[in-house]
Amino acid sequence: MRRYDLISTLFLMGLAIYVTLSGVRLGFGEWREPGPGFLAVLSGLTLGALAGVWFGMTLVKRWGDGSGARRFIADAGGFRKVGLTAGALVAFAFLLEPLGFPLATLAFMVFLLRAIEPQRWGLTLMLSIVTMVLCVLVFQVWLQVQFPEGPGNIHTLRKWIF
Amino acid sequence: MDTIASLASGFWVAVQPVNLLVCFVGVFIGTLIGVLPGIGPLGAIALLLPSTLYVSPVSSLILLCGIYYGAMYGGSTTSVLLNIPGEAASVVTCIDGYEMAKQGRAGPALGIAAFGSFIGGTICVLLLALLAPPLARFALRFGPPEYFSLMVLGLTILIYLANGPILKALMMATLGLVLGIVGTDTISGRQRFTFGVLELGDGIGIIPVVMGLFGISEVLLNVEKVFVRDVIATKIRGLLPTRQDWRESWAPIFRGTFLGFFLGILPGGGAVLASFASYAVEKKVSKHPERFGKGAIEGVAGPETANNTATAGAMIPLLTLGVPNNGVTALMLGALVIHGLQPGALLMKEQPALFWGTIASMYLGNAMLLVLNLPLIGLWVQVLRVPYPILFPLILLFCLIGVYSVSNSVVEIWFMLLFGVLGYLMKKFEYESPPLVLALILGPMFENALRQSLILFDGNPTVFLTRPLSAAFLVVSLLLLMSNVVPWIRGKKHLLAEAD
Repeated sequence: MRRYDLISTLFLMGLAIYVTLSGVRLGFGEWREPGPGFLAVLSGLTLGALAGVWFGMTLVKRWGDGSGARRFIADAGGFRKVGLTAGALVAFAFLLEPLGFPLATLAFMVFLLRAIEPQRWGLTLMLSIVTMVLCVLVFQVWLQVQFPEGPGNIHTLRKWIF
Repeated sequence: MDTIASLASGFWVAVQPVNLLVCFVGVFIGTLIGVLPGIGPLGAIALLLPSTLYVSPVSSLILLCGIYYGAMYGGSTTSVLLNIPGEAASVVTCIDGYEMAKQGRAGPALGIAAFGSFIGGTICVLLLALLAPPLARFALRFGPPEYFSLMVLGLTILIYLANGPILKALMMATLGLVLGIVGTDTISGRQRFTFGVLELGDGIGIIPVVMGLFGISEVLLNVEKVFVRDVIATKIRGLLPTRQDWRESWAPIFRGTFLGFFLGILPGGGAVLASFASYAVEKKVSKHPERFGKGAIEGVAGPETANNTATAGAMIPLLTLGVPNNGVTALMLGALVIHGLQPGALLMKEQPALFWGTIASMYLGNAMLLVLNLPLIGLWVQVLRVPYPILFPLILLFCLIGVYSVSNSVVEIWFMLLFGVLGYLMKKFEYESPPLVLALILGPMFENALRQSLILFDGNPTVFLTRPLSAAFLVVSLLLLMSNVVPWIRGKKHLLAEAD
């Protein structure tokens, strides 16, 4: 844990310096008329001080208390799964506009059902299609959520089908 | 007399068909969400927030309240049957609830959770009706310094309750305040930390942050490991507690009711604190504390009542002061603001139908929970049997849809993913999210109250200490922090002395 604390507090100290300087640039104002950067300066300084104290305390802590040896992710398989899941989320955000909601949803479901803990193709396709249809009906048709247009948009799909 | 008449008019509002329907939908979805580990009431409310635009303000608040206390009840099902809490407030139910299930007493454990929630909910409606009007009148005396100090107290309580080191919780609360600064300054109109992103002009949305920190990060943590769930295999029968169960449970239910309600009122308090406090109290007052952890029904009855009644208590600061005391009530505040309403001291006077209708609906909602959920426990068990590899893509998809549907912007999805990764790293680095979220929610109000106080009182920072109510809030905050820091320093000194 010691190494993680040092890394995280260094990051927070860096962030605190940035926030404080940005607050000064925005304008601290004065006590009787606080400016837009007033709280940024105060909270930046506070964050920096707190992170500094924790950094110092972590530094003086002795190595080898056992907790430092904890691995970030238990095994390589776990790392792969987290990466694939995060990748699927990023891909959905990228593909939502070009593909449209139904196709993006279908692709997202198929990928996650096959890539993380692979399900049978039949089950994967059935679940993905049912999810896509229900989501379109509930969110696009019933709740009128305005999803991005695209070749996989409901109107285009309707034209294809009918 | 006025209160009784107002409550009666509230019941008239609550029994309107549309309100009964949204109440039912709310408690049903809430229970489902509570049963499913991963989403939680915050995520569920965030998901359904856009749909509240299509109903009246009172119906939308009834729906959101239903989800809130429905989730509190649903969370107990997974705790008892799976030893996995559906949400944080049900963590403590695992201890004795799961033990009862292993002994073949899952039915009475689930039954007493439902009865306790109903009894507690009934008493709380009366407490709410009695306490809210005087508190709303009292809140009219609040000026910016009092609001500022109240928010400091709220943040302090949440920091005080943090599981990890207090310094880390303080850092997260400060980071939340920093994130709360993002957006257009309400006084000068200047853009702050927006980096030219149009969507950041109104500040960082609560929904992407909450969905990211609680929904996405939780799924990322879960997919990392092999997810094995072992639903108690025995058939659940005999949901009605026995006479002996009632003898052992009635006192914990009553204690849990009052404890939960009053802890729910505290800013930063809420259901989690209430359930833990109730468990601690029950163990303390029990003649047989050794039974706790081995299937004591008091360990289910008290906390399950308390976490439900805390949801009623949490409505008091929201509806009378306009100050949300946790993430869920913050989203409710958001729902009211979307409808053009400003919760606060005048809400009760200006919108009596909304105020009293919501209170009355909470009673009806608790009755629905009791009537619906006992027969539906079999259904929830089936839901629990859905394997996680099938469930998690759905949870992620609902998070994506929920965030997009609020703003119709892909940028908000990016924010959610960013906070999802941040939440994942925070859990790995052992930082807690709740102080960050509450500080982010309170941030803009906190800043306004601070700056208004300084402008009004000629830049005199002692105004927070010279006004009695504000001073009282700050003193309590300081005492809470000291009570946490002093033993910690003593411990360190002791360790240093030993090392020397």
